[in-house]
Amino acid sequence: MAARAVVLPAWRSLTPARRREALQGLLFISPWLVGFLAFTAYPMLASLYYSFSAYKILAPPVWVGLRNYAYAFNGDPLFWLSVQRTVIWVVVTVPLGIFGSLLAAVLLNRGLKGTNLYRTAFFLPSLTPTVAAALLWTWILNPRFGIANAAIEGLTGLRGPNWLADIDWALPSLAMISLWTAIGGNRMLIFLAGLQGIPQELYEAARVDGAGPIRTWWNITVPLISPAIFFNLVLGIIFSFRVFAFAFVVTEGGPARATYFYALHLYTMAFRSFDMGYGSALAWILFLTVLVLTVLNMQLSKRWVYYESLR
Amino acid sequence: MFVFPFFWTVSSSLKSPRDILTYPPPLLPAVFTWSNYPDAWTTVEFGPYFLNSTIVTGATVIGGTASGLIVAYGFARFRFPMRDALFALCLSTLMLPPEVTIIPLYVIFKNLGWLDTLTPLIVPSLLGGGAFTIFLLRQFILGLPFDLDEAATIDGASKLRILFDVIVPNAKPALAAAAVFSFINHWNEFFQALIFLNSKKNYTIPLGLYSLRTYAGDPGEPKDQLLMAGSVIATLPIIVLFFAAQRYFVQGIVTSGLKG
Amino acid sequence: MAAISRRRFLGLTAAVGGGALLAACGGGAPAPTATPVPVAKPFATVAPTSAPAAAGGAAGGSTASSAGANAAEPLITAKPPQRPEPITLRFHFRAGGDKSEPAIYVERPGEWSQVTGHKIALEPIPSGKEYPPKIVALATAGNLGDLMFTSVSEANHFFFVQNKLIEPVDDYLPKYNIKKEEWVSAIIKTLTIGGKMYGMPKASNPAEAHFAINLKLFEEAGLKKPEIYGNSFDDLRNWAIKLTKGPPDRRDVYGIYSHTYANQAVTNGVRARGADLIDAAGEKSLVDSPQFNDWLQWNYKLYREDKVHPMPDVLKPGDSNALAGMFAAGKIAISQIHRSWMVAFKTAVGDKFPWMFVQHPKLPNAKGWVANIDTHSATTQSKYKDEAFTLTYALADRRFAYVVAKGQGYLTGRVDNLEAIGPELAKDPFLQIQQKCTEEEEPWWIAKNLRQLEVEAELLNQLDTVWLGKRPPDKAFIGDLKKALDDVLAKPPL
Repeated sequence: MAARAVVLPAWRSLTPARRREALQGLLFISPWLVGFLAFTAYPMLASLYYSFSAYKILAPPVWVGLRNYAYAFNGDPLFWLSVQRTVIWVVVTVPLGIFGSLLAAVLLNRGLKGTNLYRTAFFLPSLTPTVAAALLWTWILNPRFGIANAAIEGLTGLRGPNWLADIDWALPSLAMISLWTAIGGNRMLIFLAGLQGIPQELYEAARVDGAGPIRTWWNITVPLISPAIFFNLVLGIIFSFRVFAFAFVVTEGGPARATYFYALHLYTMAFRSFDMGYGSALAWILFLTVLVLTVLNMQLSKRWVYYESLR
Repeated sequence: MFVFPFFWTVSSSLKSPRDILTYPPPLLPAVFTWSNYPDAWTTVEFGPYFLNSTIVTGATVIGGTASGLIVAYGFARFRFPMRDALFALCLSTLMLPPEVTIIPLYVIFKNLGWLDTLTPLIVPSLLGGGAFTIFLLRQFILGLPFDLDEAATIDGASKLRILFDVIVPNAKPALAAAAVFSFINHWNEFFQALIFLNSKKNYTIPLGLYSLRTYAGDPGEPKDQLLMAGSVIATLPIIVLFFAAQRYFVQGIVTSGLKG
Repeated sequence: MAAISRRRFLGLTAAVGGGALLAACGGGAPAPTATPVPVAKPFATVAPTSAPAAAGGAAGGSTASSAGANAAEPLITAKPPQRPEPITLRFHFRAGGDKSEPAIYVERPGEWSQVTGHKIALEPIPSGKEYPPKIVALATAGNLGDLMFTSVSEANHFFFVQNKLIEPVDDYLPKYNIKKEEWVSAIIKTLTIGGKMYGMPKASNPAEAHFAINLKLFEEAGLKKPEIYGNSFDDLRNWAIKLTKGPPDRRDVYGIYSHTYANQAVTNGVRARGADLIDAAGEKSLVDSPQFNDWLQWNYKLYREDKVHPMPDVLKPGDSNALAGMFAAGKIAISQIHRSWMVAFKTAVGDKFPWMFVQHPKLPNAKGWVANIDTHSATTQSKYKDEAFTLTYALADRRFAYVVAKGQGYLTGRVDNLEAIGPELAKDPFLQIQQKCTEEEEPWWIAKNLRQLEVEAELLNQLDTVWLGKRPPDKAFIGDLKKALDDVLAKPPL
């Protein structure tokens, strides 16, 4: 109903030309709209309903009001625990991931010899199926026989940490693995695509004007790839809040829940205990949090992201 | 540093069960057990899985990227009421963990009669290609100047024409990136395949690989080496594709000296 | 959907038939609980065949010998009523089972198929812990198969029963003249919920109620070869201390591996000392008992004071392959062993050194071991309940016990296991210990709100902080542990 109140007056105030544009726009986005209404809207609303119910899937949901939410904030010791693990993760891996992949993209963009090979080499980690990567890294980070500690001992004579088996090192170990995967992966490609999209004339013009590399970087490169930075930042935040795969396969949330991320808690509740009502509540809490952060991001982006053609 | 892990994966894939049980774990297999590859292929019956994965991934990459482009074009180049709100809604679909929506989705697919087919893995992606692709392409299109669009409009081109003649050529790196991500995501998608597929003949590769995992209480011989071999087999197409897609990343913007 | 092909089935029965001739004199088996004879020779000679390829090498009997283990005994004793047309049963189980346990998922169903004329479509479900979600998804769509694997230890059995996915067997047993007493009473009690019994036991044995001992290391340390039964906790600890070699923070050889990473192992440890982990009603934890404290302190000493137990940095908890590897390399002298690790252990050790099994120590007032049951159960959604039931019985009867012991090296939950498998196989010391432990079982506790897995997770994660040295195992710890477990047990029921 609110939509109608907004849309109708807005519609009325458009000129015929603009109305045509609007219709065309809606037509172009219609594949997504149809898909959304068919496959996304109902499941989302259903899960919202479940979050207010006790639901174990094999029996109809039973309304319990705010009980699940109350338990999350004020009763479940694992809720705040998993939030803390996840927040640390986000704060550490998002900036490092963006910085690292940008660096990699810049290096590759120089067009040095063998770029093709480097590009593939960088990208290889993100191609490895999770299950295989899990075995791989368990081996590398084996405290006794892994090459990580062998290298540390060989170079410094000190004993390396116990990595994934150590309560204090488990989360940093996973962060390390994640960065190894992330640096050469999707984000780097996006940055590469963005860098490739900068017309060479601009650099020429800057050179002619006598600008040094730092000025060129901040005044030309960064603004022109700011949509890509924004993209990686937004998605980086969204996905890092949902960190799950490696913790699930390698550490199973341990040791002693050191790597017990929010998404892992959600999965455990939803699909191990089949407490789908509580799992849905957890999901919606996450959803709203990330939504708020993303909207904030989008608002702030107006200040620093440069779009050639945003209207 | 980046390549070594892959080297280790291949090395492990050539180990025998005795190597797996050797302590400390060796770097190289004692005997290069090449038979692991055919064994993995037959144990898991990779043939049909490969076909299924190819069908699903091929359809979603091509169809999804194309429809994602269309939708992104709509969001980037047109103004209409509630546009930004709808875009935020689109983005928000990435934020809700799939675990909680998969059961209602399952019921929808059951009512459509699509269970135990590859359809549920393909069709949703065709309707917009997923928020990831849409977001990516929209950002990219927003980075393209209007000049080319306007020039084409003056020449009498329709919006659709502009899409094909102006946007697409300039968006090749982004399209290639979107295609590659889509490929990887769909090739490695496990959870949806687990829930929606039933018969072995419809399995995709991730499901097949999963059955090579040793679960707690599995009394059989170690299977890690088969898992690694299977993973190598499963990863090869992606590598090949990536190599092929390389050249699109190198292609720069078509500049026609319109500036100024 | 792999229906058993006739050709493959014939090949398998040929192999089985060859071995079957050996066990033909099953009727004259020794008394079930005779004093077991310790065997001090390498296991290579008694290793069961674990893959069909190996079994093919056995005496190539003719297909006529597929008549059964005993010439007198039929292959299938419970036959469903005749049907005009053959039907196909859909059988859910954990993927990989057809390769790791072909005796159970290929051979025996093949025999049933041959006798009844019906087909079986195997529907493996990928992975272990993802098994329940898939079953639930299938059930939600009304698409569940005819029979499926369930596990008590993984807690999915009770969940399925409570959600009415499993058909009770009480009506079928008399119909086919089957007596519940064929199986150990602890099993019957555990599987009986609300007065009805659910599922046919595939296996039940207190999975880690035994230790493997490296006799070569014992000899080198000047220790006498131990008895199979009657050892004490102090014995184990003293041996471990003598057997450990190397500097304390970087041992070369660890004296002992004690399994502390599964709630069944913890429960067994406590029960062996005379108490239990959770009360009978499933509402309160009993970790404030002196017996739990004994268990805790005993293991703590091994981990952190005597340092004779490999820490997680050396051995990843739950990595049974690595454990087998270490044992075989002589890095661990005494290892608690789960029956499903037998193949890995036997493969790894080969004939490197002589080894034997001893039973888990227990006090005179010990309670029974946990009944660690796996079942195959007919589902409520099946349209062919009689056929499904008879197949589940075929996976729990006398002949099944034989097939499993021969092919997989462990026992099912039957009272008459040692007779059913014949004297040749019954000589295996490991099987003898297993049978004894099986008979000493008592039902497993069930959390009243069915949140078994959450209880286990809480228990193991808290214990981690102790083993890893973050907390001492003092009264405060036990207090926190009890509160945490009680909180989980007090959560609303599922």
